[in-house]
Amino acid sequence: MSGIVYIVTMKNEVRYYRFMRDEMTQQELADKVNVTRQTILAIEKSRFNPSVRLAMKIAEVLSVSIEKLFQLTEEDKE
Amino acid sequence: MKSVFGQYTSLMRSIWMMLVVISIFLAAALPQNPWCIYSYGAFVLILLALPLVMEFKKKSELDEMQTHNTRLSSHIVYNLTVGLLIIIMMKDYYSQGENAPNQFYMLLLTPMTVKLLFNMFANLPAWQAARIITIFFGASWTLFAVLSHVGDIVVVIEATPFLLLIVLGLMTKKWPVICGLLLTLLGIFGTWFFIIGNRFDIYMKILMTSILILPVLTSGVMLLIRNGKKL
Repeated sequence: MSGIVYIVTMKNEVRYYRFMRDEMTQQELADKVNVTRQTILAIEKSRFNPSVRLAMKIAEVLSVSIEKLFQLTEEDKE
Repeated sequence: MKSVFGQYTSLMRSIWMMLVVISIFLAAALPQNPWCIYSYGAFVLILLALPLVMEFKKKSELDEMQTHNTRLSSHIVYNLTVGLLIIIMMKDYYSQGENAPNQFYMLLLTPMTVKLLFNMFANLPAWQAARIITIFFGASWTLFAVLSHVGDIVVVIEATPFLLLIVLGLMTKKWPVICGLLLTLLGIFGTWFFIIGNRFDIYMKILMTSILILPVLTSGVMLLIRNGKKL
């Protein structure tokens, strides 16, 4: 037991790919995946992890694979 | 289509809010007639239950983050309510030196039991949930019976059904159907003994139902329905 705690977090590239798709606004993306703009904002800020269904819908709208859009990162904290 | 649905939802929400406001004013002008009071109570209960029913509808207008936040806020409010109730009960006990009235125990323990039962059967296989619940409640009631009649022979009579419950709890994996059947029968017997054939007040009856009958009956029925599978 080294005392190191690994915390798995999820980061996402929604904001990046949104801009890559003709600077799509949060509202436009929200309308296309049937959620509120606040939900897209929370996902982009990593304050809310979407369900697999919503993540797949976002990936489909942004024409990008889900693995590129959402990645798991491991942080170690002493 | 979405905007039409959104407008419809917004209209319904406004109507609901208006009805809540009207019901508050109605309470002040209510005649002291039992029928009026019961009708009003039923109306308020239905009114307050409507958002919950809407939430469980498949096509809810809330997106998943809003649903998550709604449930999180309910969880916080639940814990706050429990905390406030405990503070009130303790404060009254210290100031008056008496146990809180039955309604306080009912308000405290009924939601707690429902939450426990829901979590257990939602997250565990039925036999395991039933085992934990029956052993936990059986042991609690046995302890209660022993402490209530220390050194008295009546403790044996009072604790026997609860000890039987613990034994049934230990056998839920091996014989889920038999245990389910016996627990259901025990629950039905409990309903007859504590609710129908007893002269407790309404608060005590609700309390008895939630801490005595509901765990036993739910365990029995879930064992029969799920037969060891997950919910």
